[in-house]
Amino acid sequence: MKANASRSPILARSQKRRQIDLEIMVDWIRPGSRVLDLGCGRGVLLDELRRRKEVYGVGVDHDPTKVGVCIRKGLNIVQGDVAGSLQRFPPDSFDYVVFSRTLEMIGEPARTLGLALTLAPSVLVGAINRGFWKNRFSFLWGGRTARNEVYPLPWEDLPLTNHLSVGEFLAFVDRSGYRLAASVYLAGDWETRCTRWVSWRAGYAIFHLQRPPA
Amino acid sequence: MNDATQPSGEGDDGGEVGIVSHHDFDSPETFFFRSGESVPALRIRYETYGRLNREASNAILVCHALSGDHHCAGQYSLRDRKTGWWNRMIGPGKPIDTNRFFVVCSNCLGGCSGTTGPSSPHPETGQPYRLDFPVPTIGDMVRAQALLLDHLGIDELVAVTGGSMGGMQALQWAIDYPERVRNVLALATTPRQNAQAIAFNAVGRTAILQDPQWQGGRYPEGEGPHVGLAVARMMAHITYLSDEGLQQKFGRSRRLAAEHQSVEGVEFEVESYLRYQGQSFVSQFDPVTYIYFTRALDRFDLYALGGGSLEEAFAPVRSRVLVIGFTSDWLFPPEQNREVTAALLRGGKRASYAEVDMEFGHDSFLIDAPELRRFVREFLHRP
Repeated sequence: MKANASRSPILARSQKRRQIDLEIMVDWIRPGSRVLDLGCGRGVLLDELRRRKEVYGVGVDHDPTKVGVCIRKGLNIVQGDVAGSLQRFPPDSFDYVVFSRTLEMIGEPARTLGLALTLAPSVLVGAINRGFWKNRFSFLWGGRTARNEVYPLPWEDLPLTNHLSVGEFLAFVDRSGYRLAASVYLAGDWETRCTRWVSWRAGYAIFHLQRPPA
Repeated sequence: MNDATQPSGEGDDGGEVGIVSHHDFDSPETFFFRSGESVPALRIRYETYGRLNREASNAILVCHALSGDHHCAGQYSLRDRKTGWWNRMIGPGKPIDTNRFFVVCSNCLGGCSGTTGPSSPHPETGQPYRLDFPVPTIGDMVRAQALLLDHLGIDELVAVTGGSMGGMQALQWAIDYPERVRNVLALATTPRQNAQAIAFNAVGRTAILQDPQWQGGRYPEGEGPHVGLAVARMMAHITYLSDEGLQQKFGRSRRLAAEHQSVEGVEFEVESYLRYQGQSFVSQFDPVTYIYFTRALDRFDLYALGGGSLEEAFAPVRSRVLVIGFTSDWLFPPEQNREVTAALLRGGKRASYAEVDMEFGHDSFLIDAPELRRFVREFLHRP
């Protein structure tokens, strides 16, 4: 399994992504809480939360294959898009709304995050840092977005509509008035934590947003 | 029972349940409808596939739609070319696997395929009940099914499933018998019909009631509002399909060149198809049952049951629920299906919604599609 994973960089990354989101978010989420996971994929996080934290979880994903996997696991899953799903729940239906590599894929992230923060007092965001130094150099030298194991697809096939960088996100948090309750930055290996020069050094970032203080 | 526990077939398709026959359960007790009316005795016709295990803990109840019946899998003889209406879904190795599950399907209360209904003889007069038969609700149908399960010794169902009107029954089961249903699989259904669906049913009923042969429901046996019933069926059939599906199947193809046709003749293939659907329906279906079942559909309203709130209606539910909608279904559109799941989730229940991209409209749930089969298989994987 491990040997296989190391041979395919994309698979290795996706498995690692699960691990990092898992470890950190599972750590942050209080036992017995209600979690809405937008773009839940195969439900790895929700499955783990259910097992370890007795969480009432609801997942949303548009991919029927992944929806099938979640059904098989006995998770609550709604096939559909993020924006539509957010409108189906009244305020304070959840304790956490999770965007794990989802925010980059949707339009109007501010509106979406705003809505998510009415549904739950806390929003967790996991994202690849577009501003990671290698990505910056790639653009600087080649004038093109990076193509590597994290961004395997060429420009014309990228599903990402809103590239997210640590710098952009932190500036947005400042403008929005939301409270950044916690953040974890991982270096290019997506394992080692880093705390300085994160806008350059972080390959992956995880944020815990809260409503603005009343 | 039958030989539906043969070794499962190769691949995903599975084997066949084979030759089946129906059974009758005669309940000697008075059956009371929600309306307060009653019938002195009840016969329920049903079929079963697979074997009930010793603990009677492996049963799945299948509920049929408006024009369906208890024959949902297998065939009646080797020469019978028409298999049950969900044969692709039910059988050894199929998504509803008869190697694992004991499958029960009964003709609905008020139906016309063997269960007591308007065409059954009134015990006092020996004449068909017709309009003297009480109008059942979806809840009445479910209670009749529960009597059958009592008779079969089944306390708890692994799952109850059905599409369209069958999906309504499945949801009603979860509400009325929360402790008897572990899983609910509802397809192409709705918590209540919108005006459009009621409107179509109203036209169908009007076609029957305005047929000169209707005669206030007192037509002689063997006669009756055949034209009205055929027209009702023709129109309803269109609502079960879709623009794209009809176009794909028939397009504008003609049976004969238009210039050789009288205006009264059958010119287009789709016209011929619908006429055939209408005519063959007349020999299988009872006009009063048609009126009754469409009324039951129209009156089904889970919002009203919950005092305006679907979450309230679902408050008793303990089952795990999967609702499946179909993209091209404009009769009970995906949105109405999704809302069932959303309401359950708002109430903190265990529920999922999956959507199948198929072009065959409302009837998609009856059609074989790998994606649909996969969802059902995954749902029943660890029931």
